[in-house]
Amino acid sequence: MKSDQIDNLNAEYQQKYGFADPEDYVHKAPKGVNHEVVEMISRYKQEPDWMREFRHQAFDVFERKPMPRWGNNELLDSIDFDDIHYYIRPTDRQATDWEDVPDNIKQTFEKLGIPEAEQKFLAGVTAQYESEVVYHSIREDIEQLGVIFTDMDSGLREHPEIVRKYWGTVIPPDDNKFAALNSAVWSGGSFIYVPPHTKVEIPLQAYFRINAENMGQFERTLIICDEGSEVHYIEGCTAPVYSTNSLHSAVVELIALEGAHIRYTTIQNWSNNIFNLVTKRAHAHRDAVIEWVDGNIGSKLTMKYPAVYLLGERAHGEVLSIAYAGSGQHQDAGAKMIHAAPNTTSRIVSKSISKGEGRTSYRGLVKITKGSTGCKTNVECDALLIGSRSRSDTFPTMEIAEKDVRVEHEARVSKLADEQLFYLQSRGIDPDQARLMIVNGFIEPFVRELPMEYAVELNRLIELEMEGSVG
Amino acid sequence: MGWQRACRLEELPVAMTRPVTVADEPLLLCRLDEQEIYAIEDCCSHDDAPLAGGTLDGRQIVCPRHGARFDVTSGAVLKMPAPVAIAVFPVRLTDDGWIEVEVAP
Amino acid sequence: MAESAVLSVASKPTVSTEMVTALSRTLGEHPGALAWRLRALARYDALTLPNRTEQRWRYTDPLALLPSAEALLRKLTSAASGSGNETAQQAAAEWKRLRDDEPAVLLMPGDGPRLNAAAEAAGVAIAPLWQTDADEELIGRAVPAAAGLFAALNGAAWNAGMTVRIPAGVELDQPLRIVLPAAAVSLPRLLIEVGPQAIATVIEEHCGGAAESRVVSVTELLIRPGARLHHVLVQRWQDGVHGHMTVRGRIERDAHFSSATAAFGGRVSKLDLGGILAGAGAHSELRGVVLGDRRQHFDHHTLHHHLSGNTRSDIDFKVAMAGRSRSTYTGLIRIEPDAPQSEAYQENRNLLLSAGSRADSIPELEILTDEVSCSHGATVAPIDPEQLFYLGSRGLGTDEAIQLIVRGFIASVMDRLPETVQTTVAELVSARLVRVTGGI
Repeated sequence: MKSDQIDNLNAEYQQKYGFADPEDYVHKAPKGVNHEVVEMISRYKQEPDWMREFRHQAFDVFERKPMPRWGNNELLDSIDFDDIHYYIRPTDRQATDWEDVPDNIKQTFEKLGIPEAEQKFLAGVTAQYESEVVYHSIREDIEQLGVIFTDMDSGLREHPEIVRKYWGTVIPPDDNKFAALNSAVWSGGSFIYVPPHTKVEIPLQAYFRINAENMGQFERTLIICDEGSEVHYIEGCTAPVYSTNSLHSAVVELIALEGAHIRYTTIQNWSNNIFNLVTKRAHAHRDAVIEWVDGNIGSKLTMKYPAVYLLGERAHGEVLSIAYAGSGQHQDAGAKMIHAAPNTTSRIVSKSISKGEGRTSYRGLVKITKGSTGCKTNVECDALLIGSRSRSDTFPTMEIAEKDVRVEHEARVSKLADEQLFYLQSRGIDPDQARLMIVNGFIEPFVRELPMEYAVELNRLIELEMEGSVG
Repeated sequence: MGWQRACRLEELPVAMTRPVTVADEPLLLCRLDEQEIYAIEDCCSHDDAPLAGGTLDGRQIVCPRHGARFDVTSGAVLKMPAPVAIAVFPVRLTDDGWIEVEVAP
Repeated sequence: MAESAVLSVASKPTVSTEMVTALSRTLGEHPGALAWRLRALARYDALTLPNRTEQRWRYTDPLALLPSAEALLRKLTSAASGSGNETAQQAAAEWKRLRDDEPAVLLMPGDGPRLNAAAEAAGVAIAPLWQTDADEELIGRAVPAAAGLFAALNGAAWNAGMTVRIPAGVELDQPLRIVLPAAAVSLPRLLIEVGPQAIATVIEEHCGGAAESRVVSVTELLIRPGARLHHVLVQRWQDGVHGHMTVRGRIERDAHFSSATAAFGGRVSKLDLGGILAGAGAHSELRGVVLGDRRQHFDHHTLHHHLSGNTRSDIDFKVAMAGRSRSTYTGLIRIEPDAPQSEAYQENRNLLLSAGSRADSIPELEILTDEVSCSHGATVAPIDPEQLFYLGSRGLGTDEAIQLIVRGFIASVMDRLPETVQTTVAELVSARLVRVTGGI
């Protein structure tokens, strides 16, 4: 890709998402992390002792745990944990009325179209800016159903019994270095509890924004869907473009009790200086359904493998994902399905596009434990390469310890097809447009799973990324 | 297979674990007390790698890699990320100081 | 909570400079060999045991495949003193099994390899490895000592080595058969060069051994421009053998490598098999059939490494596990940035025949350029009950039906075996199937 085209792309991103606000914070922790910082965060939030202890223990685990030695060692090793702000409190109070959000932050989210989206099709919205949720609202009719939708800090304060029961049960701090770090310094995120036999018909949404340079955002989301309930949660994320890197390291735990259904949709559009190292995992009990719909467009390096532990009979898990990597980006994404009960089923559909010098990796696990008879699982990976220096990896793992199962995996890697391009051009469509059409066709199975507004937005992002794709 | 010698009692101090292979089965012996010894499958059900090297916390073995916990007396899983229980094997002490394990054929 | 120590500390066996020097001298090697061995030894010393968190070693304990330090020392000093004859009887028996009219090579310590008249007339040359300096340019080209702990160990301490050269343009009608009986410790190394435009079939048969046998073998196949090599690996060790085999074909311009693996024996068996597509027009096909039962543990790794453009590769690996046996298949296809216009396909199908059996499959792709077409597929499933029902309705008993289904399942690989081994392998399949169906 020519440098002026890159400039062009950056300019577009800059305009839409890449602007930065002047920093005007109530509290900004100095760079670096240690027990003092952990203590400070916990005290600031006036947390119960058990949470404070949890944080400190997790910090010990973080220090002890080695860096993952797979994925992208070079990039992982470039993370300087001492050069990050672990906590930034942008404002003193959380607004429930849009008008009360501080002007600069409000303008940010307005540029990103949040209030508009809220009015149109959301049942509730949370907007996180740096370390804290700055705006939160939930529609009254949803609240009256007994649905709890709040930021994680308030959740811990207002519903300690539910939080404590489930907290860290899906992703313990020992799971990996970044889960441990998140457990030590977490702030913000969403807490959702849906009471039994309640269907939240319209999506709940969270929006995450990193504004400061060298910022670490460590939100923590916990969603519990009680028996026979249903909820759809959507999250989006952006950040400005800086020359130095920021770290986003979330932990998301989902629990779908018997017969419950959780759909979790992510459109990740971080700027290309963000390390996005996220642990997402769900427990699906008997007859429950978990769906991860995961779009990764932005970031410098993403390592994210949404997982479903199918713990009860007939539980079902799905991961539907797309990843786009342009030059300077590595999307290391995938999915994990752990079949730990009979007659559980799962499906993984992964689509990736590598362009220029971009790299995508699919990393997946399908595991069927002994005794989990009657399980079925199907994995499909499709990778599209655009450019002779683009790269695609596929690393699936299947561990099958039970005979009466059906496991299928298929992967394809190919170049954007010349025949298709030729055909479209012969119909008078210019090459850029033709490429875009092919890519749009390629990701269509993903896009059609999104709410309409998101589908439109995603198509626009892809268009932006594909601009000047000759190269 | 029946009862098989695993190791000498004095080779396994109290509050320690010891990996042994008995009849091709990789086992982890866990000595909780003077006479209280358990034999578990030396394999975490999370990543299928050995539990050897993990710490004993009372009756629980903590996986050295991701902190999953199992009850060594029953094999029950007590903490994620391990999804299912592991196998336990009967243990006995002989009069002449051997720890023996019963491994099914 | 007290840190509980792991009480048994296990490590790789030590190999000393003195052992290697004595070994090389006794084998009458060219001085270059010793220097090469010592470089391999330095590699070996520097390498730690593969960590089980590494993908390639997740499912197999490397220690299970290594000889103990004592056994290795005993073996190497006995070979060095020229008295290593423990497999002579076994070898003699194997030699008898071979048909008289078959061009055959038998490799074992203490006895020279033999070649029949037809092969000799065709100009095939065999010699103990590295007795002339001509081997200098060939060794390590497909399996460098730096390739890993097992390659380094074999590189430092191979105790039986053979070079086979098939001259340019020669077409061998009959296969060359190399039989490698397992001793208490065996470290065989084969170096086979198929000259430009030559056509040959080489059968590498691993057999024999006993409960505590350990085998660490390396086979380097150099397939020169325009040559065609069909390589057949039959692993029919006795129960209880533990072994690690490395086989690499280096495939030059317009050359063709076709490999078929049939693995049945041993207790723990790991094979690292691959083709390096090093010249334009190179083509590699790997096929495998693995039949396991009881508590056997198979770990097969395949590699197709496309270094050059306009290359093609294909893999078809069939695994059927019974009893409490376990199979791990990992396969990597890597296409380098300078290898456009490459095609690579890979298929791994696993059939689980019993409740206690287990199969892991990890097919991997690393594609570093866009002018490619690659795909892989993997499945794990039991015998289709509908097929069984259908065959039953045709009057077949369950055992018979299962045998028929398994035979059908592995047919795509069996069909590719040269006639000479087809009988041997078919017998092994039948024996295994009888045992398997009896045990379901």
